[in-house]
Amino acid sequence: MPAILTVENLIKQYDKAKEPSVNGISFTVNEGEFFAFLGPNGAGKTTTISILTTTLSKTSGTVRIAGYDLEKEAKDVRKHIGIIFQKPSLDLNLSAEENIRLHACMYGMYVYRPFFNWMPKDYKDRVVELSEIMGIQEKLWKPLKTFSGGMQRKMEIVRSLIHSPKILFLDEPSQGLDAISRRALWDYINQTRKENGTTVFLTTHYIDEAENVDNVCMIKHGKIILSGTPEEMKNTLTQKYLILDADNRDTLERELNALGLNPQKDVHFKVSYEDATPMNILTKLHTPLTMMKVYEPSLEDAYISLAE
Amino acid sequence: MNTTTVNNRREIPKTAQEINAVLTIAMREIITTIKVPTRIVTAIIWPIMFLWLMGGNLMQNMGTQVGYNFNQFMLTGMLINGMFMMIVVGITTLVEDRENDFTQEMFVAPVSRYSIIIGKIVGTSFTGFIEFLATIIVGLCMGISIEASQLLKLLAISPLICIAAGSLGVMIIGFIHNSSTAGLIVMTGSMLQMFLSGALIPINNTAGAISVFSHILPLTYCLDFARGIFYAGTSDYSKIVMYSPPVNFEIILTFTAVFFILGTISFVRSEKNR
Repeated sequence: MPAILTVENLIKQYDKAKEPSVNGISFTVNEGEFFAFLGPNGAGKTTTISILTTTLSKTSGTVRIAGYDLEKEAKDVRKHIGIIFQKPSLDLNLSAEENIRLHACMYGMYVYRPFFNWMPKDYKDRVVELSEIMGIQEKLWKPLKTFSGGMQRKMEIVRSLIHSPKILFLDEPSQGLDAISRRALWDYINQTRKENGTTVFLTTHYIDEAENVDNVCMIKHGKIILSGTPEEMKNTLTQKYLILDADNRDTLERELNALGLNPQKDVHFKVSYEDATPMNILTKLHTPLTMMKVYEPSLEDAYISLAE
Repeated sequence: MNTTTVNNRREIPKTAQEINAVLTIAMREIITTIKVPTRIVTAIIWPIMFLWLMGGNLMQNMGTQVGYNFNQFMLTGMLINGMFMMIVVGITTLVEDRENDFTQEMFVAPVSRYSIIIGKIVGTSFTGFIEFLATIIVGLCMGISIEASQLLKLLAISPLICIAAGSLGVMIIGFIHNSSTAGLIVMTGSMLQMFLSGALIPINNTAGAISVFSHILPLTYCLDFARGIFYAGTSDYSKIVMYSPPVNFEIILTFTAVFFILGTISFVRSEKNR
């Protein structure tokens, strides 16, 4: 897959700041990829995403998005990106549909008309379709100030996708959403990715949301400290292990030591392993087990070990 | 012709896209004004307060001594002053949009920053015209006479007044990034302009430091220009108008261009560096 986003040696230093917030980061995101940009608070995630979405100027470095230079061809870049900001950027006095219409017309998709019924059929169908998918069709005509936080977030997603962007930037999209709204949001984003091949660039504090991404980049103090697939991250930063126990604990311990596994003895025996599964160990054990648990570390474990 | 493609959906010429963006932003402003009618209410109350109450009092106590129809003088002053101020206030709501993060949505759209500002000016002009209409009604209720041809002359120059007022608003938001500070500056500025630019009180004989103040206020030239057009060919022209319309026109064009460009650049820069 060709690269849709290339960042080279990006630096951002705010006025009066002693250190750059983003300090010479480089990475590539390929077309159709689901990419997560993770890091603790103040690491430089929002600064980076603000630069990539043209809302903040960079100090130096090169960024190309969808084949366009961010600095010289900002308008072309904007045409091909969709954004869900960390803080909602909706006009709460307008209805949901009016917000969508405003967006679609600002992106040059349709000539503005003052009433929904006067808009082209293509637009009307798309709005109805998107609102049905997101479950907001009932509220399409109501002022956004009457929407809950979750509904407003859904509304932002509908709006950000109306112009079919090639790359969708999600800056902590599920912040403030309840579990049901979060699930609905991710179902829709995943469906969009599958159907349209939209590239997704995600920053989030909910690390479990990044568990299924294609690639992760971890940033700390403005620098990228690790990047790779979630699996690579976990393998590099964490250890998989088995928790075992038996009625005859002495026999089990002898057996584990004989296999060179050096079990940690605590309440139960903890045995680390490197293979994809622990089957190789289990098939060699003869002591009847009373307990067997497989601990597969999550991306969150990897993230925490790195953040600490 | 230059064209642009949005994901192969359709092709819209770039210029048409910018005009469409101006229209879209203007309509957003108009719809918001209708849905949240605070500005409409203000536009109606303003002439009642300042033309009927304050102007009426001035007219009764000193109107007969100025040597011309003071009622008409006040009406033309309040028509232009009201429209001007409503537009300045409207433009400064961009600071509120900024605080509510709505400007993010506008600034990531693939349109020129100038189109966004022009759209805002066009949209807020709607409230300016409501103010204009309300002032005419209050004036007529007070028995102030105005000929249709004179009214049409004022309407003909109103777009220039809207753009000039808009550029002053843009200049304010370019350098003031807090809505309460912007509100305070606009309120203080409104009072200063009302009394020192000749909206209600003539400034032809003003001298010294007060005259300097009067002459640095953009509204002074807008009012004098409007009155130059309104009173053209009448015997009151020389008693009321300070500078010829071409001179005022040049001054208005100059400050409008400077304010608009500097204000837009500064606003966009502050938006990108916040």
